[in-house]
Amino acid sequence: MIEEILFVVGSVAILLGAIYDLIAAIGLLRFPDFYMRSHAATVGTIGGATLPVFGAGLVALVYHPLGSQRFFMAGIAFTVGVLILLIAPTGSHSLVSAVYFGRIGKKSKLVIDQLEEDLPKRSDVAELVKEHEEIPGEEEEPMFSFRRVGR
Amino acid sequence: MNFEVAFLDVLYFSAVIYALAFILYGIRAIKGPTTADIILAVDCLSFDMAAFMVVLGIYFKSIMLASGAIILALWAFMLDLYYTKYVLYGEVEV
Repeated sequence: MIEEILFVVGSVAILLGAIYDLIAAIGLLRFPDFYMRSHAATVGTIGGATLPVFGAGLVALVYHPLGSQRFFMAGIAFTVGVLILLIAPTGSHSLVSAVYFGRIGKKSKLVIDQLEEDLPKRSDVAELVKEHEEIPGEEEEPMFSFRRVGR
Repeated sequence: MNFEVAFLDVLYFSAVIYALAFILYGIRAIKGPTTADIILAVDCLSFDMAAFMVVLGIYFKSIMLASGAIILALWAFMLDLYYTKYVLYGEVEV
């Protein structure tokens, strides 16, 4: 009885993950902007990759044609699931931050951008450089020199 | 309940939908306007391919096919980090 329940839950997870994947692919193709596309991509990685991998692990636990290898298979599946669950948001975050701070591509129309107010502007950086600049001619006269004193 | 026959039905449905999704990801990976779009699409493609490889490994009764999924997932993460370091710092430290 418990084997049938595990198999049905795993199969439903695999099918649901495939549908999530298709939705994410359509979104990645149709959205006009990089930040919107990153939203679709995170749906595709968590819903479309982590969910079916955990479902496959549940199926592999009760899939008797694999023989005694099915526990190895379930272990690999759960390892991949946890790995993608940790890796995918980190990678997406670093990619989006690279696009924002590196100013790659055309800047999209944002309704409100509060991060930009905190970033240093070009004039502020110029002022900061000017403050710390060494002005020539203000160096101290050397106390002792080999120059001859005029007679 | 025969698990082998039932899993074949699940594989038929999911393989068709996965193949369609792979094609759509591939179109975005080819025509993406900037490099970041291409990397985002390839990222999704590799994670979903890793998931599909585990499902295929159950169907073909092979552990070797499923163990490649770990490396594929880690490779996609490496791609993200190297691109970020190259764009923001100008060099890739090892």
